[in-house]
Amino acid sequence: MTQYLILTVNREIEEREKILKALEPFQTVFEIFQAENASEAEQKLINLMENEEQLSLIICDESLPRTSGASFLTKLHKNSITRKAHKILLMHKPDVDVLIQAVNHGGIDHCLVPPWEVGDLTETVRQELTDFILDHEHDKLQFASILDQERILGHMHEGGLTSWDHHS
Amino acid sequence: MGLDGLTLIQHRMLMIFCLAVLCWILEPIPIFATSVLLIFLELLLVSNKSLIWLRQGYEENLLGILLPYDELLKTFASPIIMLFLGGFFLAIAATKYRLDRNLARVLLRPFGNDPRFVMLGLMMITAVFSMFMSNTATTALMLAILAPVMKLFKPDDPARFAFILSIPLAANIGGVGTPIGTPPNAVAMKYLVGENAISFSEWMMFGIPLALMLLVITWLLLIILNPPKDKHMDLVIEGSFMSSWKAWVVYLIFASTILLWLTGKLHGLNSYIVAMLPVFVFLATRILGKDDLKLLSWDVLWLISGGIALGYGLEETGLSRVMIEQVPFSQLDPMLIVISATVLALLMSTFISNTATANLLLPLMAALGSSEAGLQALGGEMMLILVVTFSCSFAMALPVSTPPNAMAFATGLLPSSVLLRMGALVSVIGLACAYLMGWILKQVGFY
Repeated sequence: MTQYLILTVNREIEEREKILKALEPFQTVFEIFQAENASEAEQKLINLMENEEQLSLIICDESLPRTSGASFLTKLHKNSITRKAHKILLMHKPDVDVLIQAVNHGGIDHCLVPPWEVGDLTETVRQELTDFILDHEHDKLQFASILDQERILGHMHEGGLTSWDHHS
Repeated sequence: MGLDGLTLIQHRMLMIFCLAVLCWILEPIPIFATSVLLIFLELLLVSNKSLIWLRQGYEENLLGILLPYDELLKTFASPIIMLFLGGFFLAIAATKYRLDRNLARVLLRPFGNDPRFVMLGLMMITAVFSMFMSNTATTALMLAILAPVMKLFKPDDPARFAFILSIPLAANIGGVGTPIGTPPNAVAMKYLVGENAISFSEWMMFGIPLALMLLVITWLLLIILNPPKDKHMDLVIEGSFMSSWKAWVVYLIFASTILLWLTGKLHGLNSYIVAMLPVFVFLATRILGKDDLKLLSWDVLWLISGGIALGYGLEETGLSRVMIEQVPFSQLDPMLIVISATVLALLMSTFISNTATANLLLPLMAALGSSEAGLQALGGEMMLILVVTFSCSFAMALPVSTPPNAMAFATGLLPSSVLLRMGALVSVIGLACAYLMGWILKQVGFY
């Protein structure tokens, strides 16, 4: 079975802890890796294929050492292995120029602007992961207990059942 | 060499049967692959076009009867498979045009806001839907409808579990309502032929009362053992009926197919022919296209085919009769035979697939029912086949017992202890209801 990875890139320790708290409901099924900067994140991604892991979600801060969040996400979006992953950008202030770059070139799915609560991020992550699982995973039912149950069951009802390998 | 009194063909068939038992129980390969394997092995080893060294140069009475290869291949398209195919077409079109969700919305309204009656409504709708759609698809739909309100329950409210549990139980129970309700019924229909033949509407005449009886008992148990704390519950289902011409065709064909199934005697078309109506109309109107054909559960159809081929082989080679004769059933109380057969079916299908259980047991039950004179007083072959078929559907104590159970369990909202306790209780009561129905049918002279 494929192990799904959630990657976060953030240099502030308080932010990292807040994000980790938001990801708590998902840690039973998803592997969570927290990187402090882009190169540490890339190091993790190099071994992804060998370990039969797949990147499902990346939560990236806008300001990173030596690069920007939008640039880093753009880089990932150009790579076929990480392109499928859903991407959340954490901005410090609303900035249209950054946003345009992130949307047009970085393929971001969601953008959070302060102030945001742990619960906001948890719900955003839940929806993005549900989208990802509905698109890419065969055995969706195993995620029904932690992701958006209504959408997963509804999807299975509308024809996703054929791929569910269980005896009748 | 070998077992006394068995022909070579019967020996080979016995080997195939033993392989079927092992493969369906241990699942080294998927259960529908086992079905295909059984048909392949029968063609290879016991058909009239089998390997030449296996059929030439033997004395005829030593070799036994070779099965016609075309009869074995025909099991892939036997009428009962076509009946299921028609059912699949109805279900896929109903889902695509949101008929099922909208019907659920309308049908749930009269049940009001009292949580107890909302639960009854959900169970009724689930049961009725699972008579015509797959139990699993129905469960997915109803659990999706239920998901938003599950968040509103207080964590200590016992009714939380009861609501999640009510859906798979009702789906399992609803399956007995019609011949296409669940695959074991299809397997049973294959043995109810000749003077024992049952039409679609005749099946429903006992299937629906049986399902209704068990459904109401299950509901009462759920609300008595897990009384809801809230007195008010709002279950809102969004949506409205589609009104394009294609949607109207779906509504019309859905209603007329069921109507034609129910009125077979009036127009002379049997249920197998009626099942072709949705298949033709939906394809011709492009309501269902090439992509929708890929949604058909071929695994379920082939699982049934394998069972039919196995039963055909056991019967035509005479092996099932020989196997039954090995046990001195005539010395046993007929009642004891019925109870052991149904308990065996219930236990087997608690752990393995209901359809595989029916595939393995029903050929033997058919042979037993027709050869055992003592059973005649209780209803004979027909009664035995029906109660064993019901028992296959009523096994619901574990997550693995049925796909609806597995699905409800996967929501993470249902503790396995609750499922085990309630599921086992309903299984046992279901068995009692099956006996009662078997007895009633004898009293009204159905057999």
